[in-house]
Amino acid sequence: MTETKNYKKMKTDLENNEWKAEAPYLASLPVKNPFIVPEDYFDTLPEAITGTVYTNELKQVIPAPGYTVPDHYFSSLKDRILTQTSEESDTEETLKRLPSSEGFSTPDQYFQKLQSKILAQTVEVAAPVLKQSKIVRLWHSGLLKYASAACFVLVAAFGFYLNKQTYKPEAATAAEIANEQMLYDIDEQDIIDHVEGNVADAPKNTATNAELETYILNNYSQTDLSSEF
Amino acid sequence: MKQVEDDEILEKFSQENTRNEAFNLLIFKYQEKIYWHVRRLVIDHDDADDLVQEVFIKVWKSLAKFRNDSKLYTWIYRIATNESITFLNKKKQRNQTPLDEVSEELSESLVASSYFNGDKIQMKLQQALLTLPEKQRLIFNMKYYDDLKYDEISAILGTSVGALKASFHIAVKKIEVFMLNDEISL
Repeated sequence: MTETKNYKKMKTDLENNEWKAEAPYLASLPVKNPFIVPEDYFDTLPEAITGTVYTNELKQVIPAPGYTVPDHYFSSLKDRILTQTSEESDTEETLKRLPSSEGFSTPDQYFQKLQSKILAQTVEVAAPVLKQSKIVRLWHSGLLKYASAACFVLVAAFGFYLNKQTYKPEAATAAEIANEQMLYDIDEQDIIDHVEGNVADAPKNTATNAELETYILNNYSQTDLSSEF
Repeated sequence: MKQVEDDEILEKFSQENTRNEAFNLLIFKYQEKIYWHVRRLVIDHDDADDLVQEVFIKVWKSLAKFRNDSKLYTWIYRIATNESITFLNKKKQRNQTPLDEVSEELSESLVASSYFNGDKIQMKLQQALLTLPEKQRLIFNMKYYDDLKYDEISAILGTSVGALKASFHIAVKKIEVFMLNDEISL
């Protein structure tokens, strides 16, 4: 039984390898797979297969989305496409029949000159220009300078003057307020009398014009008087 | 994750509460084998990536109906093969190109691929493979690269062992000639 099995195996091996005698060069070559696959391809392939299988199952389980088209849509689609393409080709034909000239013209040698014009402008623009900073003089002339100084002095003096006028020491202001308060307490008639009495007490000019003239003539010479006036 | 026997996967899949676990085990066990099988047929990585996902969707949908009259890996290989051939046929129809030009396209994508790191000999071998008819290329890949026995390939493709042997020998001879032709340089 075992011998028969071995004989069969030998026969099969012989049959499977007899081509090597007919193609010795091919038989001498190492059996090598020259193809390669992307990196990790076989690691990710099972996931890809199961994913595809799952998607395929879903397609069968989920009914069609239910989109519909108008009646005879597909039967008339071909005709509509052909009509549209023929219209487009008609438009193309019409465009082809139009004269190639646009009808516009340019002055003689316009384009020859245009290039040089553009170049001239672009070169000018492109030329490096060192931008100098502009110095603005504050005083255009000496006269203006002195006038400004004078104005400044005047404004300063006026300000100082105003400041002096409006300044009142706190003590003086308090005394003034106190005097005003006292005046309320004094009878008005007493104040009038006091003022009149003061005027009465003031020294009065009693000399007459004749006496003054005599005095001047006696005490001053004519030279003194002329130099004085 | 350790690889588990197909019977255990099928047992777990038959129960509602362990179905997802069984499917994860199945993906883990077969994802690389299926990817390389598909990749060698369609050459481009992105196409192979899409197709592998399609294959496993079909496995998920149909595994409940799987009968134990064939091995699980044979059954998955058959799904992957059918998906790949359908893809190539659609590509051929979409571009309205004859089969040899599809091979040219595949050859171009092989050269342009950033996921190819074989040397000149490996590149020449792949170019030689792309000169073969699809069925011969498929059989050669399964025999040469996957090291499957004729009876296993027969179970997957539903072709007799004798026909497979003939196809494989023709493919091998063509490749040998291509490889020894010094005028073909890359």
